[in-house]
Amino acid sequence: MNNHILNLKGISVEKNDVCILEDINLEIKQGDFLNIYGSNGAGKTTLLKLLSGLTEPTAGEIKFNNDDFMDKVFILGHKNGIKLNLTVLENLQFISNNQDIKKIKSVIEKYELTSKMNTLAKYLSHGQQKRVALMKAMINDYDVWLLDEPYSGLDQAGEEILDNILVDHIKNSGVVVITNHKEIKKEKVNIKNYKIE
Amino acid sequence: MNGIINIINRELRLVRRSGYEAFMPLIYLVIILISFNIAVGYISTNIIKTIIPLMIWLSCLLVCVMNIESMFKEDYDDGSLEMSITSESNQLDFILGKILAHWIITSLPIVIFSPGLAILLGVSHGATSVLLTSLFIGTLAMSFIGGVIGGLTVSLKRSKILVSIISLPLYIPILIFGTSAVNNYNANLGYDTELILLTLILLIFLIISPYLCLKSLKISLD
Repeated sequence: MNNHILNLKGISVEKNDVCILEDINLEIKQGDFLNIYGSNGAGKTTLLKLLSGLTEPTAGEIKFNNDDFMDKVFILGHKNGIKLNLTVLENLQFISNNQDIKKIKSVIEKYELTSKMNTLAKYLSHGQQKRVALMKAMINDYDVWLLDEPYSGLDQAGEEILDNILVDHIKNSGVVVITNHKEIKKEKVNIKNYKIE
Repeated sequence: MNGIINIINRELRLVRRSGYEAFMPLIYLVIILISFNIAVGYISTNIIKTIIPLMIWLSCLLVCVMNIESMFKEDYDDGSLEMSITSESNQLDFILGKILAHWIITSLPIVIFSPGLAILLGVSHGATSVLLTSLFIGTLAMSFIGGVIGGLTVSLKRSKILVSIISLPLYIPILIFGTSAVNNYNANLGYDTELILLTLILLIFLIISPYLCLKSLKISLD
């Protein structure tokens, strides 16, 4: 059965006559954990933006096999996208249109931030802020998570928590696409590494 | 609709926590008005009374121009703009919520405050009520136009002058109809046409600006 949700064929992106991406061919299916790696300036962030629909290709074809795909995409760039003057709970309530408070609290518990629920986000560590950002994706049931260098700035404990969150999402038939500077391998999950130059 | 109310609530809460920032537009308005009054102090009191509503209109326009830059800036800086624009189901709710919240925070206080100021400076109650109505409609229209300009310039670092250059010509029709309504009242002429034209401008931009704003934000985020 073809369960590809997204196919990229011969994608190129040019900006101001500078070629940023050239001839990218990529298939993403449900349950994939994709690591896009390459050196600085290789076009990793541009590729993520392309997948999120924020950037249009100058050549090639992007084929969505699921019409609702763009409704289920969550993108987390270098910044965490949370409001520092709101508490953890408020950040999640406002992004989820005040949906079921029990669901929000259970997600906070899962992400090990119950004790920080009523703390302003500006008082959280970088890793904790990143977890709050990922909670947004979980609360809103986004299927496809596009994360730009999610491991940067995290300590070992933070990386482990993030690993567990991402693996959980994959097990629930979600899709995770991350960018990184190097190839990665994890015991808990099979990661597809894709190098761009 | 829930999404729009949600965004407005969030923005109001953020402003409440930011402290003094909420009073900035009002302080700015008062300073401009005082400056105007000093500049035209040599003119006779009767003439000043006639031009005070026009000065208030011009001051509100300047406050609106100054505030365009901040409409999406914070969301751009903290990365939440990318998230909100990516999810197709929430895009227009987000934009409408942001524009309305921005109007409530930056323009509504000056719309409410201006009539008091006008009466204090000796403007008649009738002219003040026309001023209030025209400001209410006009500033809302300016916020919708400002949303498109704010979206287009959000990724630029020092965009205040560029924002002014783009927005001022677009705001001129609003200024003309707004001030004409008050002038016509003072001259005992009808002012309905001006208010209807202002409302038409508002309706046109209420319909088209969320789409234009979305497009301009996508260009900025690309």
